[in-house]
Amino acid sequence: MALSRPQSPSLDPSLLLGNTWRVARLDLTLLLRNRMAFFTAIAFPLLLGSVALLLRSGYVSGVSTGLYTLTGMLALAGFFVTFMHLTTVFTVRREELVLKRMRGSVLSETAIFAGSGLATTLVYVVQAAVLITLSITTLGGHLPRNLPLLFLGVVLGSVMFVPLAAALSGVTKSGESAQITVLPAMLVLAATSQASFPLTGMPELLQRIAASLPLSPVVDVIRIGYFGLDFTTAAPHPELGFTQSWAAAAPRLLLICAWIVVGTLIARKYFRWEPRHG
Amino acid sequence: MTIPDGARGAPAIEVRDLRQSYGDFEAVRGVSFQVQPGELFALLGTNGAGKTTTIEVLEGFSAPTGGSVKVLGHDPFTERARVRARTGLMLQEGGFFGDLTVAETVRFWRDVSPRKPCSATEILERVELADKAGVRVRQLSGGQKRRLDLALATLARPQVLFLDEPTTGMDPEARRNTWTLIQDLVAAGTTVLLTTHYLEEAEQLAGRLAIMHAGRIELTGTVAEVVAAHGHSIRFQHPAQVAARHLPALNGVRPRVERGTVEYRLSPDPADTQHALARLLAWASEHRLVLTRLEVRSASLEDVFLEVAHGA
Ligand SMILES: Nc1ncnc2c1ncn2[C@@H]1O[C@H](COP(=O)(O)OP(=O)(O)OP(=O)(O)O)[C@@H](O)[C@H]1O
Ligand SMILES: [Mg+2]
Repeated sequence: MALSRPQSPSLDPSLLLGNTWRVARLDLTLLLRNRMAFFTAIAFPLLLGSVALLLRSGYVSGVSTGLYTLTGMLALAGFFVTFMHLTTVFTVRREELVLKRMRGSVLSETAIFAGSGLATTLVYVVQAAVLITLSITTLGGHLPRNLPLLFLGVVLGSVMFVPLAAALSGVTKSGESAQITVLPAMLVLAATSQASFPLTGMPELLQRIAASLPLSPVVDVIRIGYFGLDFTTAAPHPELGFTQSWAAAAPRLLLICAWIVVGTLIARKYFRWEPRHG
Repeated sequence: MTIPDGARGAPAIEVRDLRQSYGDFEAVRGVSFQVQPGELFALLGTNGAGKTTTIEVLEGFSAPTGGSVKVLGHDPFTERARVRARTGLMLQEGGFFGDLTVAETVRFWRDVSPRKPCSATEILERVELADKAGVRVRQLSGGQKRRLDLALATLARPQVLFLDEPTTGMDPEARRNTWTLIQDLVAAGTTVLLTTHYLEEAEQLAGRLAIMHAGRIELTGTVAEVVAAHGHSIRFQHPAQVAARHLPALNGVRPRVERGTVEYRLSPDPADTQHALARLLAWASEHRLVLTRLEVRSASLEDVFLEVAHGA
């Protein structure tokens, strides 16, 4: 069943915000109680980021390999925290008729999605703080040159994955198969986003396609925010002032927003509230 | 048979020629009924008759394929905001967050609902789950889950309550407690639409009921009306010494003999029944027969149900 758009039960903004927060709090509780969810959304992304701690020498793309990898893994973490985790959550909740109950309640559809998205975004922000702290304490890193930009990159990077997870859950049959349906997306996004290595060796056209896929702009925005260097151009990346870094990141931020819109459209078509019969 | 819905004010639930299809399959084929405020209306029917489909359209889960439905004067699908806050519902199968405790579950749903007339503890006491407050929902038994579901459906004191097989899986005591709870709510003015496979439940609770079969309402009215229309029956054990074809006709009705029991299905008119009985007793003494397990009774809801189920 596609996402329908009847009048939302909570047109009252304070009710919407209140219920979004209640759903988020509930999701955080459940995330800590379920071993699988805990691993996907909390342990694994941190583990991924810690890989960078092993890379203590060398340079990539004009910055130290350790910091390059750490910022890339920080972007990739959002894939696990929000995309993979929520694909599973939405699928399991649909199959167990929890989504049906939620939809049959006073909760609006917006609060149901926004609440789950808020929970994973909060987790992701905390993970970002942990990884940045690790970068300073163990990799000779520094505070992000443009902290608000990096923060925005993290938040939008997470928000972008909420509708995409909803859409993918619509074609996923069970919680177990979610691990499989996200796999192709993970391979494509991890390989094309420059999260772990630059794509300079690739043909021009492929590079351009890669740069327009969802994770790539998140990686760029996070690196621009962290290093204060223009990662949208080829290495060596020119240094940017605070305002210049916003300007350099703007087209990438717009691309993330475009993916939010596209994701929402796909979700409207593929997301299902109830298990399919037969 | 149709019985007027009564001429009181605006109905709380109004269903007009409802049709609902899943792909090519038409699960509900033109159903109409009304439920007045403060009334309990029961939908009975065979498996797959279309009860859940009907109730879910009323709950606003989907727009009807044909016809129209109104709950408290509003379209439950397009005007969800207006309707949801004033209705409570219990799905045929409830989806729970298995990793939450019973108390956490009640607290969550109480927090999100706009009206909170009672505390979480009171709510749990009402369905006798207070001692399970700290238990994970996953670990509850089937009947306990049903009780939790009932608690959630009623916690905001809704004006209209939809209960899809509320007591399935409950033990007899829990079922009786649930009946009392539902009766209290109805006495306080709540409108209830309930489906059930327990005919006794419908007899106990329902002001009016409808029996559905294959997407249609076959019979509707009060329990007494539905049963009365079905007539009376006289039964006794088939006397071994009389061949079935030698049994008398009563009021022109021939008996049915099934599994050693003779049954006459008579009209609902008591005078007819009395006349038939007198005739039967006269015949018995003529033949020096003692009729064992002789009974005269009005049809039960079960008789009516079975007749509908066998495609009346
Ligand atoms: N989502 C669906 N997709 C396809 N067919 C469906 C769907 N839901 C119900 N049906 C079919 O519609 C018919 C009516 O189903 P419904 O669930 O309304 O019956 P019911 O009266 O509630 O039965 P029960 O007493 O078994 O609960 C059945 O034949 C069922 O198989
Ligand atoms: Mg049903």
